Amino acid sequence: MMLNHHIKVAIRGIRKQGVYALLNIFGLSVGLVLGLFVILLVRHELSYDSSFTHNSRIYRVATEGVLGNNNINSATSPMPLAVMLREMDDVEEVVRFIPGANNVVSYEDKHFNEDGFMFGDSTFFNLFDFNFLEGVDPVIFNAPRQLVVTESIAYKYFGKTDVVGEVLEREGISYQIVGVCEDVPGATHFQFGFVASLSTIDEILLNKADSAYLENWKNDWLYLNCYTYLKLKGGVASDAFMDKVNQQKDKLFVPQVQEVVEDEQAGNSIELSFFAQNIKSIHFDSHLDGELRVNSKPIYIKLFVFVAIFVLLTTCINFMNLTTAKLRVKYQEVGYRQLVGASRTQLIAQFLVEALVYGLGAMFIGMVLLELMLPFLNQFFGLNLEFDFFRGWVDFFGILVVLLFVGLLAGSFPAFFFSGRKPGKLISGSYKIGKTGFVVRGLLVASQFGVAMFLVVVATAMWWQINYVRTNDHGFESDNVIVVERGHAVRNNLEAFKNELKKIDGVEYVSACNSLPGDDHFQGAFRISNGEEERVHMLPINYIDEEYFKVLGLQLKAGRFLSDELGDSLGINLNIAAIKKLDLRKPLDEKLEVYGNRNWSLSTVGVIKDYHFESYFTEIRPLALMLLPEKMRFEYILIKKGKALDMQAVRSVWDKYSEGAPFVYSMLTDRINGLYDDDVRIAKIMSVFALLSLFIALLGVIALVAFVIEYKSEGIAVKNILGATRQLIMTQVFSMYGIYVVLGVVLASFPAYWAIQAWGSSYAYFDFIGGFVFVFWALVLMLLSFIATFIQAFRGVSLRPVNS
Amino acid sequence: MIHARNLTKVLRDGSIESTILQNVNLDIEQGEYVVILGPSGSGKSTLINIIGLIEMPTSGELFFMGHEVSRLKDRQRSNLRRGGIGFIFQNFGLIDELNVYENIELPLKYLKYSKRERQDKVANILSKLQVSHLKHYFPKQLSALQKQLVGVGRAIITNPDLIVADEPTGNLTSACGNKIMEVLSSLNEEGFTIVMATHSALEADRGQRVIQLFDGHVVTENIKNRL
Repeated sequence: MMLNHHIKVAIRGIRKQGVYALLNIFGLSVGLVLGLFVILLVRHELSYDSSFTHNSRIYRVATEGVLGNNNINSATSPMPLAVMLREMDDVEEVVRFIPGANNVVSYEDKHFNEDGFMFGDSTFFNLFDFNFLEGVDPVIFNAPRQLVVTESIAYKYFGKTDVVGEVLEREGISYQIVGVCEDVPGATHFQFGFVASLSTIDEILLNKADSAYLENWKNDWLYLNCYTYLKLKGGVASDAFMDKVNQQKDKLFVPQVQEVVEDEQAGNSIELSFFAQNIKSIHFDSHLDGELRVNSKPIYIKLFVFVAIFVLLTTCINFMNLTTAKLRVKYQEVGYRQLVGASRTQLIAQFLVEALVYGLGAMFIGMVLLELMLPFLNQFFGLNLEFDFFRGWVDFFGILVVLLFVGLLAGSFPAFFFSGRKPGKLISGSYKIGKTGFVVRGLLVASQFGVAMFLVVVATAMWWQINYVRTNDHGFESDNVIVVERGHAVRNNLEAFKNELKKIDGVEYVSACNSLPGDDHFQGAFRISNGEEERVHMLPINYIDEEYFKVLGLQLKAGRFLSDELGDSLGINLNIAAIKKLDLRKPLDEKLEVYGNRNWSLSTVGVIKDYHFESYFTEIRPLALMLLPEKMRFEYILIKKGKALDMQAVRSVWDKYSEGAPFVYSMLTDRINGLYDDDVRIAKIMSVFALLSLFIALLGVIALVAFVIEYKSEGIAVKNILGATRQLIMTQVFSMYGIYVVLGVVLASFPAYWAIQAWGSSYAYFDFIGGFVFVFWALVLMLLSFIATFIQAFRGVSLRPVNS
Repeated sequence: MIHARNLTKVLRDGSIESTILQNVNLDIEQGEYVVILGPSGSGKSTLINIIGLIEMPTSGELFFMGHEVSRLKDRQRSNLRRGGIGFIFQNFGLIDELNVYENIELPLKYLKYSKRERQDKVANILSKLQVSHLKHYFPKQLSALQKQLVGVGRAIITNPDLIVADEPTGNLTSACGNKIMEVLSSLNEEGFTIVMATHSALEADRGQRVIQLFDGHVVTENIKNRL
């Protein structure tokens, strides 16, 4: 009965307050949109790999240890591990897969570069239970050259999903499709379009090497060449199980290590052990070498949750401030209600219902806004979030909980504040808020400006760093360099291809290489002797041709660049970091032996200056550059262009030499910038949060100024009568709380500094924003708060004495 | 019905003490129409607030309907007030968000009367005060007199033991004030006990008994109309 009354009063109150109420509701809805968006974001991040049945029992087995002078910390594992695991009692299922290289897949006249081609064990789909649209569910591979494709791939090549029995070609091997599964959900730590039977690898390797190599590849414990996943039986603890695995592994692994060490007469230690990562934890906090996708950083999630909670809190605070700003009217109303018989409980209920009605309105606006904005937000932030209020009870109740939380929180202060007052003082209008009340409100404003300051400074620092990594001198020139994917397609006629390209106007240099900045590099093991002792080092290697140096504009420190003409097939260029790591005192006189082959000795012909061949997340590591051996597969063609280049002409030359391979190209600068896409996305999100929190903080100022003016209206009117100027009164109003703005801004600088440092620690090269950025934003925030005061106070201080 | 003995009210503001009421004694019987008369600052509003159980005396005793109430807790006084005392305010005290009907109905809602009872009672009051035609109007659409009539209606809707009116004509023209005075007189004739504070001697004449206050003391007590 009273509920109807409370709701009616609340709705009429909103109508009566007009713009003021709308401002209040809109402020609340902005907070709720942010809150909902963060909930979606966090839920998406936490939902990774939850689509697999029994995901709590599925683990990836990763490898850690020491190999010579190198630490191993890899998501990959050796092939024989799975064989051993399958024989253990606690294991229900073991599956390996190997991601294939970016290669052309063909069907009739359709040719596409595909980097989502994997090779999986026969029971791959037993463990990873994707739904099948076609074929037996789940498909069990029982022969080489069998293939499962996803729904999207089926449509891409055949325009339909009914494609079981069709054949696709890849690198001269025909694969028969035995099943079509649903697309891999976006929230999965690996992605694929094709899964072929792992046994096909035998054929692929035998095409390129002998059977001894194949056997070695399949049985070598030191070769981390696959990803191994297992499902434990129910009730088996993963830690205890992995202890058993490592003990059992030693029986098989140690003899091989001893053999290698004896063969190589190396005194280096080789120690590997395995550890299990629950599949659901991988996206969230695994950052090993060889990750299948870029994983999340927990700090972002913490930051988002922190921001969302704070934004929600500050919007609630604004609501409280705006609600209690019209104090005098409210006081008297409460007094009258008390005297006509309202109990305290009834008054509390009235305020809470009022807040809930506001909250409901804000939630409705917020949900509509989110629904409308989500496609843009997804596009802008590069996300794939879904929002469907009616998707399930969990969502419904989740939103209900948020609404109740916000409503009760926002309404609680006015409810308990007003209902506890004595009616005599309320109706007489003589009730005054004490100094504490002002201080509390001031501190609330301080906290709002603190959050706004924190966010704008952190967002600025992020953009500052992103700008730094984009514009800093990488040690090479990426501008005007075109990257053509899968350059291997022109391998057979590379020289002719290059020569013909160079005839096109605008082409300056053409080169081939295996890795680009940001790619994983080959790892080579080298033995170096300094006369006293022998050491083994792992070095990243990039195979290149001699024009690579010109295309990228690399610089020499000593010696010369690799050259075909000078017969450098056994030559090597090292960067300065490598010289330091290998401790080569006279590098040009040194020889590096390829580990495992004492007859293959490389001469250091030149030392190149360090350049960022990886992202700025890692320090410049040692690097070895070697000329591409004949017939070796390589990934990219690089074209250094002048200002204008007819890409159609380049494509024609490509088509002439590539035997139908698709012409896919990008600019090197874009690829390098793409290495920081995740951080750009986070910076965008933080910027939006910063803007909204600024809006909320300004709303807070407006609420506070409304309160101050309401509270001081008599004093202001008196000052008007006495001839005080409007500016003077406004300055006085501002000075009443300006100190809190300053306080919030200053205090927020410390956590902001800490957060920037924490965020920046993921970079090896970090350009910290200067102190002037802090000062700049502090001044801007103070200026904005003064403008908000000016606008809000203008009306207030213009009160004619007679109205007050 | 109401008996006050040595009521004293002292207000403290820091180190300054002001005595608002001093040793006030009074007796009000059921069905009486008592006017508390005095200039601004005489303590009449404080006295009427104490009688209406809104404020507590600093010392002295107050009996309301046989209960000693001067030391009751807020909640206990509130319980006695609810339905037992009707208040009429100088500035009407209407709730802006509620229309005439709802304003008058409000005390019944708080007292959890059934909908049927509320409808009947509100209809009676609207009719008695001749404001039925205004029942859908909101306070801001009413004249000052109409507002106060609604205020009176709300005060009597629970058929209270006592009506407390603090300067009920303070915001009205003299003509409108007269109308309200007539309404109060007729309510008294119906049996309502009324205590009214005013600074107007003319209005005080409407009461059966006038208690004159000056600087917190009862200076005269006139019972001219008692007979």
